[in-house]
Amino acid sequence: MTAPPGDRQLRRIERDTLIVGGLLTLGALAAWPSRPDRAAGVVGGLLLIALSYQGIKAGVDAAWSPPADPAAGADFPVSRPRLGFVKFFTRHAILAASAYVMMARFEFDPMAMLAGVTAPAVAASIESVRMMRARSSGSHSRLS
Amino acid sequence: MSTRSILSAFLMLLVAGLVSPVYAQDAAGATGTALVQWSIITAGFALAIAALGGALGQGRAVASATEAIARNPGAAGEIRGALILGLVLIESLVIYVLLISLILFFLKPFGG
Repeated sequence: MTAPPGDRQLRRIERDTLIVGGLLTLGALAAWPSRPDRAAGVVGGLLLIALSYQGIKAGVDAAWSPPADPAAGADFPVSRPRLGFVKFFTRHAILAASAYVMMARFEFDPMAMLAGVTAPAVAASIESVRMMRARSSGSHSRLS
Repeated sequence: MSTRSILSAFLMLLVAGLVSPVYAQDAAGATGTALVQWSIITAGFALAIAALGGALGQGRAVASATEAIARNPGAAGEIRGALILGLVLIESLVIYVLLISLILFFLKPFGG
């Protein structure tokens, strides 16, 4: 079974998000060695966007996954729809509670959290540049 | 005059009406307290507007993706990937506003 192109693109963006987040965390540690709350804030922001991503992905998979056909093989990950919808509809409550705990209780740096949340946008920009370069060179094979 | 223009004018009037009492404060202490109060009210409105905009954007994205999958079921995998990415990027904007609102609610950068 091969993953559909959309899934491959998502996996690249997930990987790039982790790389960008790791670089931001290392940068925060290097720039402010005496302020670990800033590096923790970046990780906290990444965690928030990861929670949101998981909730959205579970909801979309639950809504659009076809019934499993063992003979043909499913293009989509076959998930438990009920759990997926629960994750999708409760994600904002979980996000708000997590952000409150990180910010008000653990005292993570709020600006660093914003930087952590920015990581997927940076990863999507990197992906779009990569796609444009592949398109201009006329080869899509590098993206697969 | 279109409905959108009327709505925009009403919103501008509403914002102007909400802002004007801040300038009416005269004493320094009172101004600081009012600033804190208004920052909290503004955070609430910002969160509401961000949720509204995010919900509208996500609704449009889901509607378009559903329509596209119904027209071309063979491209469902690619559409699904683009949909998830779009929803996450929209959601990240709402999370920005959530964080800024939480800063104003709990960390109180203007004192209080």
